[in-house]
Amino acid sequence: MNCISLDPAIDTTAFRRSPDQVMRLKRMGSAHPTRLSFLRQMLRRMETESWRFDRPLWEVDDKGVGRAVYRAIGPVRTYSLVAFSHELPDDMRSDRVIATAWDATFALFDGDPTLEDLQRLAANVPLQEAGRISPRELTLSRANRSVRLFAHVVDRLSQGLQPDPAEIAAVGYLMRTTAVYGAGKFGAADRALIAQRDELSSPFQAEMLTVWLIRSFCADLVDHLAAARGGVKAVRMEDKVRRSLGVGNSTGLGMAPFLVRHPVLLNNWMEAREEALARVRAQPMPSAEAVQGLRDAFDAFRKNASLWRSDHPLQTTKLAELRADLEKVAEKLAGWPRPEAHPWNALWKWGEAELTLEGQEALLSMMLEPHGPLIDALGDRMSADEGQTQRIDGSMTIAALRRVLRDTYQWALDIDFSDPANTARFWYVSEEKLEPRLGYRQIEDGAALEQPLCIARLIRELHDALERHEGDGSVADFLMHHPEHRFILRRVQIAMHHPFAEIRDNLISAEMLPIDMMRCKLAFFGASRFDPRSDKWVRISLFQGMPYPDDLDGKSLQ
Amino acid sequence: MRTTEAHDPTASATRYPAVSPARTCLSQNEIETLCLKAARGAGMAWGMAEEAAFAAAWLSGMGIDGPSLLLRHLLKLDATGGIPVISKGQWTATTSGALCPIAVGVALDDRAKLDDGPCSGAVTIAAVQYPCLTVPFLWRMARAIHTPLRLEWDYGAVSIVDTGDLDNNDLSLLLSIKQCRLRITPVTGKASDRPPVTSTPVKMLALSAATLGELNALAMRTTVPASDASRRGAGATTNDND
Repeated sequence: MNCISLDPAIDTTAFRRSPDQVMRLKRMGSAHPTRLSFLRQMLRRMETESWRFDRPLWEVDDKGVGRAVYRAIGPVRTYSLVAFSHELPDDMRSDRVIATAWDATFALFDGDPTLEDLQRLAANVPLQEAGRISPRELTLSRANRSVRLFAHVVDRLSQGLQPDPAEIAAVGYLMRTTAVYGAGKFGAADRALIAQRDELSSPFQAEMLTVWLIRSFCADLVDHLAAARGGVKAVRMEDKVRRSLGVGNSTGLGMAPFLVRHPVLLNNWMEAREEALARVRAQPMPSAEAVQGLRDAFDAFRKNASLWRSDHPLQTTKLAELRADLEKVAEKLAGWPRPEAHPWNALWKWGEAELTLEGQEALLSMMLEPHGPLIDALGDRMSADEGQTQRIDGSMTIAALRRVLRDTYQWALDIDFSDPANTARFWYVSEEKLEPRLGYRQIEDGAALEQPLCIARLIRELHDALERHEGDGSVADFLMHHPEHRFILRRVQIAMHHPFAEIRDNLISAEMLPIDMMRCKLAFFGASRFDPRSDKWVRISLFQGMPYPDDLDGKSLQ
Repeated sequence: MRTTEAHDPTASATRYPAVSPARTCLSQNEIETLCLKAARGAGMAWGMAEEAAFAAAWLSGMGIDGPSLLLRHLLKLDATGGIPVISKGQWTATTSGALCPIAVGVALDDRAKLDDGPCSGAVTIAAVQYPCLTVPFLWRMARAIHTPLRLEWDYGAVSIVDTGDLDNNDLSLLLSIKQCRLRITPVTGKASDRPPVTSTPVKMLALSAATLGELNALAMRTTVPASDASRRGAGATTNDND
């Protein structure tokens, strides 16, 4: 296994978790955002580099229809969110990818858009998937209002009153995005064109910037509509209220396969986070400052957990577990640290023994929080050059390949695929909307068109083919006669060098919960307040409680 | 391997209009995604379809209409000559047809470090269909193994240096050839002996409506018609107007 320490100065070997422990869906589905999450990385950069922000265009009428431009001006480049605000009848409002109209639509423009650019975007961005954008655009996005809260906030502000805190707490955002497309989608700039830029090299930075600027647009829009309705009576939203609002995001099955389709990226995210945890666990007696940092992180976490609402049985159980765990952590921290060689490790070991998965992963997030100088640079390791086609090393012998399967994929070989429950489902792409879906093999048609996301079963098939294969030739010879195994063999050769590349669970079993994959990915984004609407659909909030561009504008917060 | 949207939070795909009046500019990512699905829809195994998509997207990056070429190949996939038979540097087809350029390309690349591979000695391939589609694999191999290669056919040749550069003017000569014999030789001279190359800057490739439509038709073969059950299952079980 090639699990190198990313900082040769610290030997973290003894403090690392194994992929067998980390890469289980249940644990991944208990992930929380950390300071390595992508939106945190973006905010840190903008603060350190003193980015400036402005709104050079605001042409929105009294009904909230119009356009606006928000600029983020960095030391080298400027990025502009172009926003189009629409009037949307309630019966057309849907978070599904099958929607055809939205309350607002957006594109992130590379630079300062001209009037011609704005006209071109006005003709395409409101159409979303049915329009085309250009390499001058980095993302394409849209958002729908949280109808109840949006109306409440506008109503109250127009009467000169601040919104009811209970209403704010119940929802937490004015709008939720239903898609943020990047990386070459619909004609946008390819990832390869921008990946070399410092500010965009970490994963999903353009997408995070888009959502962050959308948050400003939402806050400005309610102030604008309240003023239009209430005239001189109207007030602006107070900073405290404004800050407590994030941007919602509604995510369905479309996101779930991402982690499976990007094994190197998944590895790099996980490996960086795990290395961060190992570094913290390897630390000696903490400073008073670090102890206080942990307590602050705990307080913030407990507050967030108290505000976190969900009506879904899957999440209410997990939330109850988390809250109970946090009480245990509170007790533990009262007597921590004790004089011992590795107090952080002792805390972690205690957590592993005493807490549920929700609590353990929450503890991870809290323990990373006071260790910026120790771990923040690991954020640089979280992207992957996937543009480099992964070649297959055909000179590998069949004997070596069999060994790798045993060493790296035993978890897959242990699954009994003769049990129908272990092949109960299949992933496919729907003809209607071209989106990934999950079917039941026994009762739905289409299993012949299964997507190759059933990694464990593909491993079993490769293993069986190798059993039947005579002699000990090369992988090159084997593949020439068995091109059907090329897909999985490529993954095997990736996983050899990337221990966290595979989700070590059966992705087609009857029990598998797609939201576990989605939560893991969204936690890496920096999402909080996971609120599942089914086992395949989750709402979250981004940037809740975090600064706005005007809080950061040209100044360092610290 | 980049087969789908590398940094895209969703995996749903572009639906191109059935008839577009003009040519459509596609990003590299869109080309690769579309060609992956089309190759799979045409009957290639997933791992081979990934390679076909790589080849088409790489040619696009060179300013060559790789997607159209791949489409022509995919429409004649059944006529290709099966698994190559390798004997002393001679590659021949097992059936009467010319070999699949993708299968040849990946087999050459897979054998890069083997004694009978193209980096060890000259390899002659009897007949390859749409041979331009093999070049991306030679480029990938030359770059990875740090071995410059020379590719010759009956009326032309192209040098692929180990930095991976090559002259796309030479390449466009190969583009029009439907089928030919190929000869690949490792170049052993000093760096200064290698021919100078000029790479043309990459532009976005504009695909004709016909190519786009036909690739899309093949890609749609990988999809499953929706049922009421699948529509219900994909979304929330609650109303979005809240």
